[in-house]
Amino acid sequence: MIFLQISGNNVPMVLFFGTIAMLGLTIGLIVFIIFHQRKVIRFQMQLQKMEYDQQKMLLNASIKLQEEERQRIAADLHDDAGPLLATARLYLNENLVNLDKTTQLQSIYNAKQIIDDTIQLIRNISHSLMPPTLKNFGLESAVNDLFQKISSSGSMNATARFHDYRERLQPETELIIFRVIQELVNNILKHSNASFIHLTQNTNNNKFFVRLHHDGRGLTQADFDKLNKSSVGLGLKNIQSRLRVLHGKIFFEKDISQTYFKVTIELIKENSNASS
Amino acid sequence: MLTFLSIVGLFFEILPLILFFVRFKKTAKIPELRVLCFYTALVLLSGISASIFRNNAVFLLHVFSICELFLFSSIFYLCIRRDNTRRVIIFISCLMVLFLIIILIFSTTRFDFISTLAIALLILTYSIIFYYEQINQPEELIIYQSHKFWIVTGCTIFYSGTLFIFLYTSDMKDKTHSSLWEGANATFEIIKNICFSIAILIAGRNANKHLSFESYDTNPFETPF
Repeated sequence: MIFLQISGNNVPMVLFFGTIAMLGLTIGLIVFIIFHQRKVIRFQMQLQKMEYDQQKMLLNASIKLQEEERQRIAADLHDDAGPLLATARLYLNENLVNLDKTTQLQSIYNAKQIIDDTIQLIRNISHSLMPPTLKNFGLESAVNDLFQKISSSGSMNATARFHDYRERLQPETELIIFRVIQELVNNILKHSNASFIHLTQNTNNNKFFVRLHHDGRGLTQADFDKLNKSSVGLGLKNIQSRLRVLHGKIFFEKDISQTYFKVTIELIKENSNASS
Repeated sequence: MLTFLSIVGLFFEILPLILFFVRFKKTAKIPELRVLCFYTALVLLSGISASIFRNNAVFLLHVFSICELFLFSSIFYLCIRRDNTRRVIIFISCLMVLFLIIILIFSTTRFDFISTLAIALLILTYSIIFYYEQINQPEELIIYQSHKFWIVTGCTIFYSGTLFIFLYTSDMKDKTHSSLWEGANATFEIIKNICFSIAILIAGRNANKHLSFESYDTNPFETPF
């Protein structure tokens, strides 16, 4: 209370400067808050915009990939199925013109052969769109099937081991995981020059993990993030957009031994029965 | 000078009330503005009653202080969003009201500056809490687009400006000091009422201007390729 015991003459001075100081402090505080808030909001906006740009890029990548897929199917149908069916039609047409029994039988046989080839071709296209093994037997069988095909080519040794896959996931989830694995394996085959790929699957704390190991040239998380932000790396963006649907994560890292590269896919495991 | 200030002060005291009723359709929906309107009416009423009942002016001032604290606490309760802080406001304000009532019962005829000072410090603390909350969780794109900001700013400027005046009220015995007190008080009252008027004027206008980054990108759906 010493502060309050100032003699009467000094009161106006203290009062004046005290009031000015308090006002200065208050106005300073308000101005600081206004500027600080604007700065924070601007920063948040930038973050939101970056996220938005990233999403836009992913969407573009997925649309582009979809278009490429359509073009591939269109090309397969137009270039392979089209001429085959046209040839079969020619053979069958010949039956109407040529009445010789032997020639007719020969042309029917040829037409049948061509139609068989066309059926096989359409089956291949259909299988590439939705692998029947995946649909009928699940992710484990589909991955094993894919890896067997890679191994049988002789260029690379591909193995897979599913540790905890007693219950199948939802069909859409399985398809997305399979597509991601396919894309990753495709990248490894194209760019890494690896001699083996090993896939392991496990679950932990209601999380579903798939890990790919390979001994070639690989990506680290920094590379992945960099490629994701750039205009190149369409396949990686597609992986990202597919995993986003499942609220999944992907991690690219180098093994502690610095010999292998690891790619880990992490998903929240959903109860297939409950969700269906 | 004092007469001029008191006339201008009276106009600005009525202004928030006028604006409230002019924009009644919008302002009546906002609870903090309803409380603010009630407060402004109370200030007017206390001024009138103090001039009529001059003998009981100190008693009236005490009653007004209690009502003022109650109303300002309500405003801060409505402006602050965090539940824990709101609970603290209720608790502290209740304690303070109790303290003021005790002072009112046992008070002498002199104006008690401690209670006024305590109210001022409490309101300033609430204001800082409000600003802190606004920094962490901004409600509006720009803080001064919010009517809450103007209400709180009005309170903050008024109480920070008059804090030292309240502090030295007991030392100001002669008439010169008393007129100084009245002049400064009237000036800050005017500033406070201007802030309250701005709050009433802008209330309800920024309903759609919440945090959004769309304004940064005028054409978000450009062709992908």
